[in-house]
Amino acid sequence: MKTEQIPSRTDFEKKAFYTPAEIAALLQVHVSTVRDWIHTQRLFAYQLSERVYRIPLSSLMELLGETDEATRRDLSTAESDQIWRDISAEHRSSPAQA
Amino acid sequence: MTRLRQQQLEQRIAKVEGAFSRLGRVDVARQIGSPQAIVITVTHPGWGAPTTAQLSFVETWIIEGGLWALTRYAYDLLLRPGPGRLGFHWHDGRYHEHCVDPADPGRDHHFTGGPVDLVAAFDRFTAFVIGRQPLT
Repeated sequence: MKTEQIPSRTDFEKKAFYTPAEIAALLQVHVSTVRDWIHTQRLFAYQLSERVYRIPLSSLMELLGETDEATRRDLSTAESDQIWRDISAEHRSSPAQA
Repeated sequence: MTRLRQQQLEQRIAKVEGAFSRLGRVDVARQIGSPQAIVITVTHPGWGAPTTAQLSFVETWIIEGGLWALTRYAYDLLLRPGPGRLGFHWHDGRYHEHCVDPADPGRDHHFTGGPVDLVAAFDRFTAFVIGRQPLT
């Protein structure tokens, strides 16, 4: 089975979203190859309409093996209490319009 | 009210971490024990796009009868640089929504709302961030 070689270069122009054609140009593959990646879920893309896709940078980076892991940390009770105090406090300064 | 077993709660967090990472950097902060606040922040960096944003998902869960029950939440999309906001909240006994129109930033419009699932909120926020819908 033929497999495409994906360049590992990551020093390209960073944008929030790319078209399939831009991804194809960046990786030097045919645009139909990019669409295949989308349809086989190898490359995640938002589908804006029947034939219009936008690929987020994070998906491209994932394809290139450059993923950012989520950071995790413990939240103290004091922090949690403060967050909810702040959320509740804004209602005392902005009356409901419902 | 949403009630989950411990494993389901862990799976839920893992699932949203993966889904949310499509949009940007994900940070998760969790309180230990019950009540347990979970704060998930997604920073959408923009990279030249007109919309950069911070998404914030705050929930508190408590153990009741061996199950985790969701007791309040605050899901917010904040445009960066602002102003601009869309929020779905449930706390202090009320479901409500916040909306700050970038064209009229002086007011935080504040409406009665209904229950909104975390993933549904994320989908709504994503639609704004990628430009499928205007904020107002």
